Amino acid sequence: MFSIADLLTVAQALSLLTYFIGTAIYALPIPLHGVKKWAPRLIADGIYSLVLITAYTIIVSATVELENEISGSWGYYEYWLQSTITQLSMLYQYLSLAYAGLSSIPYFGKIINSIFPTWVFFSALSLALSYLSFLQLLSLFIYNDFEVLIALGILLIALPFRIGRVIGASFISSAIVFFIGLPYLPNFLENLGLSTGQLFLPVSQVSNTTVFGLFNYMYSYLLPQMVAVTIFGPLIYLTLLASLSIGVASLISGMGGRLPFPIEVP
Amino acid sequence: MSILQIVQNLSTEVAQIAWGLFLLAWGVGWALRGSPIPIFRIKRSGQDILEDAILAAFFLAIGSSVFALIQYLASQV
Repeated sequence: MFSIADLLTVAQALSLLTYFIGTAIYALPIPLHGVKKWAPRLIADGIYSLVLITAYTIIVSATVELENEISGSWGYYEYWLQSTITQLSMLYQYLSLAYAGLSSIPYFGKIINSIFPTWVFFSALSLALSYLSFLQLLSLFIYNDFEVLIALGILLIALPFRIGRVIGASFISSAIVFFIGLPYLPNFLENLGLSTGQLFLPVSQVSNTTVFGLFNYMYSYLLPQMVAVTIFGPLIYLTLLASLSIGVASLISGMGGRLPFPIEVP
Repeated sequence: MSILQIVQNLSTEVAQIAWGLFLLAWGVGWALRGSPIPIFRIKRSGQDILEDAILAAFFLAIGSSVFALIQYLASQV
């Protein structure tokens, strides 16, 4: 198992190797421009990756500092995700219980199903739950491993002949951008008017009306609001973060960038 | 043998090869440049090889110093 220090040591050896390959190509007694143009490139790449290796501590501490300044705490974000998942799964349990009770009345279940397609609600609910769980997994991965991701990215950049330059820069930039940006998600949704608190508050206000009123409320308010808060809002935000990290990746690599993990609805 | 040792051995070998190539390019370059052939392009390519070889020797010679310097500067930040 490699530690971060091991990764950086190997990266340093690789950047030295890149540099020496560059000088060897410079010394080749072949006047071919296509071969010779790699020499100054490789020398510059070796020096650049060495600068990145020595700046590793600065990059990590600056990322943590920026995260503290901009986004607020990871603890609150984890709590927000967990509590939203708990609320949704409780809603799922209550609704499936209520639906089981109502559909046990003869003909009532068929009438309800013909007016309000209940499977739509349940599938939207389970999709929202699975997307939030995926988000939780992604956040856990970024939170625990962002330092390893940065070190691995530097190692990939240090490989000779720019083999891993684009994907290495994408590792670094996505680790930085997602570590800083993800905890801001609750505030982002709040600013859009999509808070999870609003989602469940009016249930108590309509619970004493008729069953049809309740179903009406579920389909005209709760379902769209739930899909917006738990799927579309986070998806928009993750897309913003993804494009930002692709931009930072092309800044680091000078060649382009891509995203090393998926963010779409699975 | 660990990956680190493999890479370090490889870069030592590459540095030795680069020094050898420099000597070869030095010889070939001067031979072409000083050759009694009245074709300007051949003499010119000998000149180019010499210039590149001198640059290569320069970068090889300062390679370890540059790396040590960057590490020193970065550790001071």
